[in-house]
Amino acid sequence: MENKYKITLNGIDLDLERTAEKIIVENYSFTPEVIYNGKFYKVFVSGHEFKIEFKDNAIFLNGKEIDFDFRHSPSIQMRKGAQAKRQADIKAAIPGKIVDVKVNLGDVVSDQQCLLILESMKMRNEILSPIDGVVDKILVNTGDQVLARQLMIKIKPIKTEKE
Amino acid sequence: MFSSLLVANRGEIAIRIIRAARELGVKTYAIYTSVDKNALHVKLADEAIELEEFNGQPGYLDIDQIFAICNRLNIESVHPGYGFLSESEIFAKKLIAEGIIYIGPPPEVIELLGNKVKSRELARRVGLTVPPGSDIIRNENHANREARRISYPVLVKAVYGGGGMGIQKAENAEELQSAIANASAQAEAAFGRGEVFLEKFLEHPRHIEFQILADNFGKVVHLGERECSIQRRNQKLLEEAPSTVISHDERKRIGRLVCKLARRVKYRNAGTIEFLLKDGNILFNEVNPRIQVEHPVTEMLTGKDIVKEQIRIAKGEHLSFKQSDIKFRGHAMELRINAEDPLLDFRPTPGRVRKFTAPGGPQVRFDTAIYEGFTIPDCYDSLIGKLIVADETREEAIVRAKMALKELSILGFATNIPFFEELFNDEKFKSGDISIKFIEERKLLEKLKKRICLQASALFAVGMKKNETNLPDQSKQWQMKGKLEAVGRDY
Repeated sequence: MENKYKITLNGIDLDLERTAEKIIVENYSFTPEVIYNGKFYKVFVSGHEFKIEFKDNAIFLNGKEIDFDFRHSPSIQMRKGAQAKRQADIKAAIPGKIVDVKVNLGDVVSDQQCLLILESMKMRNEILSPIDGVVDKILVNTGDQVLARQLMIKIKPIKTEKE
Repeated sequence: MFSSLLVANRGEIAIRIIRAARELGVKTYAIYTSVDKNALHVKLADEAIELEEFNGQPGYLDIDQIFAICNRLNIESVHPGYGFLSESEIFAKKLIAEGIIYIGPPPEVIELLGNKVKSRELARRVGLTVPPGSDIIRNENHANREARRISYPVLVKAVYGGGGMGIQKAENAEELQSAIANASAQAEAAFGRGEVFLEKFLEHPRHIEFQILADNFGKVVHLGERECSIQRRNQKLLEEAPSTVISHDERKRIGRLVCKLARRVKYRNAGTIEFLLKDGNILFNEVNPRIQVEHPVTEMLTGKDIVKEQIRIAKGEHLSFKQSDIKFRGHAMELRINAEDPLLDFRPTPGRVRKFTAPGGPQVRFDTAIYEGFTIPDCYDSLIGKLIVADETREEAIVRAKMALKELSILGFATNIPFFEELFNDEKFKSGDISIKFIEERKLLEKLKKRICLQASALFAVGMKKNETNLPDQSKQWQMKGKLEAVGRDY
């Protein structure tokens, strides 16, 4: 049984891991205690107390409606080291406009190298390569408007000596 | 009063201006781009005209088109709001030449104050203190000589810049030339002019600004200061008044000097004089010749309606009050609510507003242009609302803001609301000891992350418990749609 989850709390993404004794969220460990009184849940964790309710298909944290979602992570985690073997699809995390494409087809790029600049809400965001590799496909041009999750660039890993 | 007023802006400030104009009995005209066709300012205005867009360039910057609309509809006055064309003397000149009233300072004044080297000199002459700085940089030698005189670290600033753009820091002579090249290139790109000058860099200053109003008859009043030190990426997040470090006498002294500066340049309408405060010295920074995002802080504190006053002044009315009528009551603060993820370096998170509940109660004001179902466009800035509160003391104002945040709910994408909750937990913030580097200094984002993780663990634990005790497929209940679409991340 895989115990890793992707959490979204009010639009903020977090990684969560569940072990027998504790819940680890982004490297912070917690041991929450849950009590249900038939109407709502009370959680005691690290000296804090939370009231959590379910009403009309909505979730309330301390009386305020929130968005909360969790789901299993894919079993193979993209971790450093393991990354090198996988191809990386660079998708737009947010809608916006491509203001600069910094690489060309066939370029060798290194991990964390800037591939392109995506402008959204007047802020320029550098989109970085998650792996060492070669630019395999470029599907956008400077000036293009992209939607969330639109594929922009494909990076092929460099074949290591072992392979 | 004017028969008509066109708002050359969008978002909450367009709505703010429409409200003020309506109260004065003026017919309002909105303009909008295709992505804004469902925007609230379009619905609220008496009439709305769609702008054509060229090459994706935002129509709100299209001087010729806006000018043509004004002519065609016989518009009597234009309010530029903030951003966009609010500091364009070309726009102002063009309107005035056609007999249309521009609600703001005269174009000559915008032009004069837009030159930071000149405005420093003007400020110095009326008795304000300016940070050590240079003239416009002429060449490499000149730059080196001036930087040594000012002493490192220095800032390279765009002469025709503003709003934190086109500024580079240089720690030593080696860094200076590249800083000049970078600042100049940025300035060229953003403002069309690449001239730069040098100014002494101040470590962790406070940001303080004074609000002024001037009528067409030489009468000038100041409405006190606003403290705007809580910033990220050089952009303000929280503004408050009065500042905890400006004494009554100091306010009077600086207030008198900023009014003197305004009279000297024949200033008209609303304006803001920005200062940096370091070790008890109040150092002139720049003048913003327009209404500012944070003007409601002053409105709450003084009870004066700055936007209505702007319209009346532009119409040629006398200021409706004098300096001695201005009373500062209690403490006010404004929280800029942005569509951005505070845990991802405040990355913008445009998306659809799935749910929205505004806060209320005495002295709680929420200026916004969003509504449930509205999709925040990704091509404009991330400000989605301004929560303004006031109370008798700073402590009480903080409590009021905290309680208002408990009511304010915007769902559908990440916002910086949790950031403010963290800020209000900080003892140093509560004591009023802040600077423009406060967020970094106090490691607020790390603390915030930990708190959000704590909440997530509690919610997750409940989810697990719920799944254990309910039917297996009850986990479906947790699949609340919306935010994943907004965040748009694929795993």
